[in-house]
Amino acid sequence: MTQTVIFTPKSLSEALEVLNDKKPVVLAGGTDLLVQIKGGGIPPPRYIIAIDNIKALKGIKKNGRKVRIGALTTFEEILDSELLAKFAPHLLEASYEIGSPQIRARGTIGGNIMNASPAGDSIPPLFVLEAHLILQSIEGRRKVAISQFHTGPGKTIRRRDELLIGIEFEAGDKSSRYFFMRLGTRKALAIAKVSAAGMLNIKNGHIGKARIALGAVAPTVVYAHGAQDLLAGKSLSPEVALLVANAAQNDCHPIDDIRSQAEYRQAMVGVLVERGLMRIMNELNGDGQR
Amino acid sequence: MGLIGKSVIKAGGVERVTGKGTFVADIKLPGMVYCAVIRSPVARGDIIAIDDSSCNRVKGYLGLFTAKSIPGNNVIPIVFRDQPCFAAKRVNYHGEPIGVVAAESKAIAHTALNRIKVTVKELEGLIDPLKAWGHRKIKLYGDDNIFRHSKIRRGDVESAFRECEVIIEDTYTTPYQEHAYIEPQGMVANPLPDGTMEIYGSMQCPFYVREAVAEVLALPLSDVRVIQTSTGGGFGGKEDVPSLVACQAALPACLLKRPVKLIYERDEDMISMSKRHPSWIHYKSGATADGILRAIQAEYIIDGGAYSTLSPVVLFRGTVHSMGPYRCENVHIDSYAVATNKVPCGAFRGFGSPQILFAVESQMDRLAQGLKMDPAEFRRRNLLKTGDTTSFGQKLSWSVGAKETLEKVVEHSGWRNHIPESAGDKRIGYGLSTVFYGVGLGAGGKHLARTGARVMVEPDASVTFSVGTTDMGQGMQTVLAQVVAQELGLPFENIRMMPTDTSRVPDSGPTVASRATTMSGNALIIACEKPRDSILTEASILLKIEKHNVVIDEGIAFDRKDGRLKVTIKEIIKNCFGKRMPLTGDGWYNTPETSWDNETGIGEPYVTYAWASNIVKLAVDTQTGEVEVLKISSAHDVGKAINPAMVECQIEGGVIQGLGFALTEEMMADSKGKLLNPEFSTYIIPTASDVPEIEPIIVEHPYPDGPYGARGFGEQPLMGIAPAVANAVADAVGVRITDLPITAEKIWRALRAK
Repeated sequence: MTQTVIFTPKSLSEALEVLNDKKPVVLAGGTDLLVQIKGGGIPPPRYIIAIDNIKALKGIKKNGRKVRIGALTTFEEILDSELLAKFAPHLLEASYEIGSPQIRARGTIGGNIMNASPAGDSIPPLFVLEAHLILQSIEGRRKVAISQFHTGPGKTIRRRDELLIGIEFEAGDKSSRYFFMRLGTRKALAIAKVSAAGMLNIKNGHIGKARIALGAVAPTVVYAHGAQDLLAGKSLSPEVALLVANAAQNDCHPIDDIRSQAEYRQAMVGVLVERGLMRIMNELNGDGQR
Repeated sequence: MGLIGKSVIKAGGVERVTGKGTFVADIKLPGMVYCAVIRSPVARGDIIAIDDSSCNRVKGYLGLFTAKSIPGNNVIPIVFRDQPCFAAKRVNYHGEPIGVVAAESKAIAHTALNRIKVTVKELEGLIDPLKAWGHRKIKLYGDDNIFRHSKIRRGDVESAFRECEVIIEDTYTTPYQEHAYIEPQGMVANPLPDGTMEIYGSMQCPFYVREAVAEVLALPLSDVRVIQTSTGGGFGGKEDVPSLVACQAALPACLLKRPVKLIYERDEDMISMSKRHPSWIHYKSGATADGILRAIQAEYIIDGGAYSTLSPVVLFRGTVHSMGPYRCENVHIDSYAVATNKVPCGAFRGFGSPQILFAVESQMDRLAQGLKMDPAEFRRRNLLKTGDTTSFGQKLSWSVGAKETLEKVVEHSGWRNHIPESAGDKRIGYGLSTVFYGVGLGAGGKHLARTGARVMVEPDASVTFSVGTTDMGQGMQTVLAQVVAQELGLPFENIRMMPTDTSRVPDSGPTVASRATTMSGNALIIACEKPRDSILTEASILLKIEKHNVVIDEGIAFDRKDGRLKVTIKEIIKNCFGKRMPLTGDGWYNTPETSWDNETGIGEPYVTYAWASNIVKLAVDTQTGEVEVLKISSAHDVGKAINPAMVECQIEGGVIQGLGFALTEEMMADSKGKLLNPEFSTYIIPTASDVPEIEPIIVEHPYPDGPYGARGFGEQPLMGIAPAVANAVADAVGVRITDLPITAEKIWRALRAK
């Protein structure tokens, strides 16, 4: 029988040693990994490193303009975070869509990123924040833009001796507006059929920087470059929202799979982006009236 | 009638929600062996070799058991005898059992399972039932791959259609539905030194399991004892297939002479256990200008899978229900159960009726629309009422509450009051369905339509009773305890149901067809006669009054004329024991006769019918096609609700399961017959968050032959939900979806094509 050896380091340095020596499979919350092992999606690993005792990997902090989320932070913790409610409200929206209360209590943001699903709910919100991932090994530390990290479904550029220790992004200001929207087959415990996140900097009614990211419509989460370009310098209006939504549809390459169909997904990218932009517009109008 | 109609708390309810109870997975016996099932990797093929030589080095491996190891007949007896326990030479579906490996632990059994080399020569299989039907080269069953053809012939359809103002004709399809019981299948087989075999497990029908184990092990029925453990849901999925699971455990147990445990993994369960039959329905119906349903012509095809199992009876029920609860004098129905190289389909809440009722009730709305008539009014004009004759020629002499259920849901739902509510991209729609359900086994299984019961009163006034039907979570235990308590005049708390066990009562048939309350309830009332008579006799002596003036209720006996004269039943029972009076009784209940003519489809197929109407209120997002169900009103004529709270729970549960069938549940197979989504992340059942407001409404038109007027209805709440949803979607956005499930993608596509 194949035996699996499980390491349970208490400190980051201990973990990095193990990673360097044994190249183990990393177990955080286990909500994806254990299911994959049981279902035969991956062969039973020779070595597993369970990192859930490493306190240094937990928590959400702000230092100057930099917000840092520990890789082991659970979605439940994200949902409880006042800091993130202020600086990444769309990440909370996305976190709420993940799994069920049980899964949100175990599942971690680092795990969601490392699982590298194009449908991973936390990823599009991090794209529009232009977040960086902090990878560490005994040889040192490197930062990678989240948009450079995933190379395909289940695939990343992480070296097997590296550990994702945290996610970092620059906090927005009053001009920053966000959205996250997704479609699933049911209201909970549903993997996204399509998702979209957006961040707009709007000053005096004019859009500065705009970021839109799309989930479950390409081998990885992608930016909607065409849509972003169209937004820059414009003012939000229903017409602009529709134009941008149409552009976003051309920024993705969805496929047919067990959850949905390519044609539908492509059309829904437009619907979600339009609705997201309209929501921001209505929020701004609401603010104006107050 | 103190306890009848009272919502006592469900027996075992607290234990279930706190995770207690004795489930088969909890059983540990000394020396217990674990086994795992070897399954076919292809949909059709010839078994060339099964080689376990690489397992012999595995410590704790105890052996391979296949068709060759079977001491008796390699057959699971159900209706026909075409299904083997283990495929011997030919495999007929992906996942079909070929053998089992046994080992000292579950982990070793699974290691062995991975090392077994199964060599199968793959053959071309038949996956699509429409192509399998009468296939010229590949014969899976008989000459034409048809397990059963049923028909109904009444009146003259052709000339009736000529009189119709509106005729609607269309094709409807429905997919597999998975039972998704919370507890997977499992069995423990325990061979005893005297050569007898005990079977413990999760099941609906212990007497089916007993028959199968006896057949496979070549034992007399007397030497197999089957005991039902706490069962975490069935919905029909634990009707016939537990026989297969039991034999898979019993064979190694018998040959190794050690207890064997087998618990299915969820994916294994979903791949290999029964499901609701996928169906293909071509339906044509017409109505005259006065709103009368004049003619129905339909072809109904169900995909039976590789073996006949329950398909002939599923088809029978589907055929009887293929006209809906309406008067119609011109009917021509042909229905077929077809053999394919896929997992055998079987019983599932509604038993062949939800598929055809999806077509029936979609058609009713479309006819009403063609006549420019309110769908409720159109149904009102055609619904069966007491005194009517059904379209299969049965006179309904009593207890037809169909119309009352319709009026109740119309009144409670705010029917079609939707125009002001539609806003933005959301459109509100209302959809109606009215359905009926033939209660009990009926003419399709009438040889099994009997039940036994036994009641034993103990000296301290506690009582045990035994029945041959099972509680699988539906609440039979509670309802029957209420019946016994009522009959004996004792408090509910004094009554305990013994686990259902084939050694306690005679073969009572299966726990299916919504029959347990009616059948075991009646048998228990008979079983209570003798102890009740002893109690009344002794009470009359103690109270010094005539026996017919004694009233017993919740532990007290008193004088009908003078309520002050009373004595406790505890004291009475103590005296009865002192006097050696009989305090034990047996009951045996047979249903009244049923009949069915196979050529004409005319007869009295069921002894009584339950009736129901549903109104679904929902919102459709015109941009995404997503449906949000807002409210469901569901009214059911149950004869008499012995426990109203549990009737309401049955309605809620069935409605939710019906919503899954309507909107999201779809088990898919690839072109080679392999199921693609045997897991709950991709086979989408509703979660608590998806459940809308459900308003259960109880209607009571007593069934004269039922206990206190009650009749079964447990299946019915699921049956009319899918067509009501389809009708509501059509009402909301004007598109008609005819293939289940009604996904956002389908609605979106239909809206775009409009």
